[in-house]
Amino acid sequence: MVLPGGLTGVPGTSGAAAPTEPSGAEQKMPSDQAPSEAVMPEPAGSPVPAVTPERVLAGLALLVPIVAMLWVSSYDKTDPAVAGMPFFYWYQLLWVPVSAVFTVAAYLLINRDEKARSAARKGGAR
Amino acid sequence: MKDVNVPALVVFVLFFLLVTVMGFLASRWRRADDAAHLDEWGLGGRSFGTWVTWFLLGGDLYTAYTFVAVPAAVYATGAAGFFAVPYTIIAYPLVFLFLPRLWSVSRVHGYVTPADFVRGRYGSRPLSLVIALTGILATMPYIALQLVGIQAVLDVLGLGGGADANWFVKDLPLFLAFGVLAAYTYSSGLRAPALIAFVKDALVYIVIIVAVIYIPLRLGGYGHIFDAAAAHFKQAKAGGLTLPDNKQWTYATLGIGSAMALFMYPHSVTGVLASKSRNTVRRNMAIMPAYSLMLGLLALLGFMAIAAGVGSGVKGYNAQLSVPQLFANMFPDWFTGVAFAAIGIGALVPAAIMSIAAANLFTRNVYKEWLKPAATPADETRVAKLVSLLVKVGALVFVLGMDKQAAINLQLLGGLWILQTFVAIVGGLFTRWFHHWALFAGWAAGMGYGTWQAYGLASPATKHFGGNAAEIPGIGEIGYIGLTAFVLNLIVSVVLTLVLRALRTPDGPDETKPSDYSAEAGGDERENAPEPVAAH
Repeated sequence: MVLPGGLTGVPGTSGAAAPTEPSGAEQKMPSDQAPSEAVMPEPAGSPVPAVTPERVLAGLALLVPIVAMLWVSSYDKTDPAVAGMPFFYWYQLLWVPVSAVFTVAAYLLINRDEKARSAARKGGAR
Repeated sequence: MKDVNVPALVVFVLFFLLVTVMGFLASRWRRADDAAHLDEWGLGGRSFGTWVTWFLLGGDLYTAYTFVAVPAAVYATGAAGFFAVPYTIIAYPLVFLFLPRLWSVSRVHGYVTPADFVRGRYGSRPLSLVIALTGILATMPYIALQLVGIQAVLDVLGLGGGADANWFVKDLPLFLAFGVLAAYTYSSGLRAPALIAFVKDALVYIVIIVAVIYIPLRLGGYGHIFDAAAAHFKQAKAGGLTLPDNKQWTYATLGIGSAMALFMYPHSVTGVLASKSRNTVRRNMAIMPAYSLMLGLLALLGFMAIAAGVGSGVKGYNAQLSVPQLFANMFPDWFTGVAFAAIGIGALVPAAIMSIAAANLFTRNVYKEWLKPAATPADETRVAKLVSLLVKVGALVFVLGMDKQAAINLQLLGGLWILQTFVAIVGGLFTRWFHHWALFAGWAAGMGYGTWQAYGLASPATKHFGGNAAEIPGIGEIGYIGLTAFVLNLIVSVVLTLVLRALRTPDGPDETKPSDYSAEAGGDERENAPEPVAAH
């Protein structure tokens, strides 16, 4: 459910982004792409597979806070209290910043993945 | 009539005037190239960057009603009312998966509403219509509840009169507030709430931070507050500081069900589609939890209200008033004014966005689709502006004409209803496998089952629609009805799709391509393209 990569249409549908911005891509390409073109000449541009370590890790990072919060019996208790606040409350409040850290991690991973994909796509489109 | 708190009222009115001026000036902010296009009025030109989007979504999702209702629920029930916290923790990782795809496909095809997407994806007019109507239906009581939030503040300020005041005098401040709101929403569109959201969120942060430090100091620390709350729940034989075992399922299902529903609401989608890039959406999912933290702290105010003895000994005390009353009791008068301004403005921002979202839905998916297919973008903008007025008048009539309990019941139902659009929308973002008639049937089953179950629930305050949790068939635990209805909806959609595919029932056309779902805005693609190549 997390990342049905087959449907994201990245590798198979080559030149995916090209229709939206053909002229800009064309202009940039010749000078910037020259080295990578020499390195990978195959037309498909050795496409990035649908399931990459980045995507799997990002999916897991997003799953962790969801599972932690749905596992209510793990935090439905008053002890140990911190500064007079029962466990139930400070634990859930603590998860707010923790979940944000996980989401940032997922964001960075996905960004990396998309850059690799668009690089492969551009390389392949030449 | 009760005594009017004059210093608080003066501060309140000053802030109100400030945001009114801002609301009207907002039409000049990032002025549009083509002001007649619905994208301009209804989506702020799709131009908002990370921070504007953050303030806008924060102002949009964390409403005045939230500020009043969440601590009120904690005040009344203790731990069970705290579910808003896991709900908002779950929401952002969950929607991180699909909102960027919704943004991309909407950008490529110029979709303004979720129903536009459904129309394009499945090529089905009936399905698109019911998605749009569900959105409008779920949004209306939500707007009405923003009024309830303002009313709570006005009541505690001493306005709104006693039993002897006639209805017109009693509700005059509310008329004024909503008249002004309607006027600047009409003239500035989404830019008005986006600009006002800065003031609203800044005020809310200040008030909450001060409240969670200052009030415990006056009440003798958090330890004392929780002790007092525990004693209170024990004596009342209701609620408690933790959940009884049979309520854990309810807590978890309410959390996940509400999280799934959150970004199905039209006003949330409007906030997302107004952002300028796919990564703006993703970044916001990472920084939105700042608001959740605030909401969690706010929820604790419910316990503080108990410890401060708010409403103690008053039979049938309205829990909705507990936090405004706590502020009035604890803060110096001028700061009470600031706090009330935060709640009041906190009602205006979402009310504006909700009315814009409902207007967009009506214009795009009812008016243009069914009534006047030849409508130009300028016609659309004109109709949307008028509908935004009608929607607000409707909400006002609703609140004044019906009792508040009805608005609360309907808002609970609204969450349940909007969740039934999840299969069609989120399913459609990932796969074209579902058949549109199967989705239609699934939607109908979920709506019917959920409404029927909710109708059968009584509470001390109301005979029907008195709650949101009932036994889950087959599991036997008590869970959120909306989520049970969603599961039913999903099952019906899957089974009927299999049947319809086996019968080779013709499918509608799909105007989207797989690559549309990962498309960037033009500018971003150009900027980012060379970088990864160089890095290789």
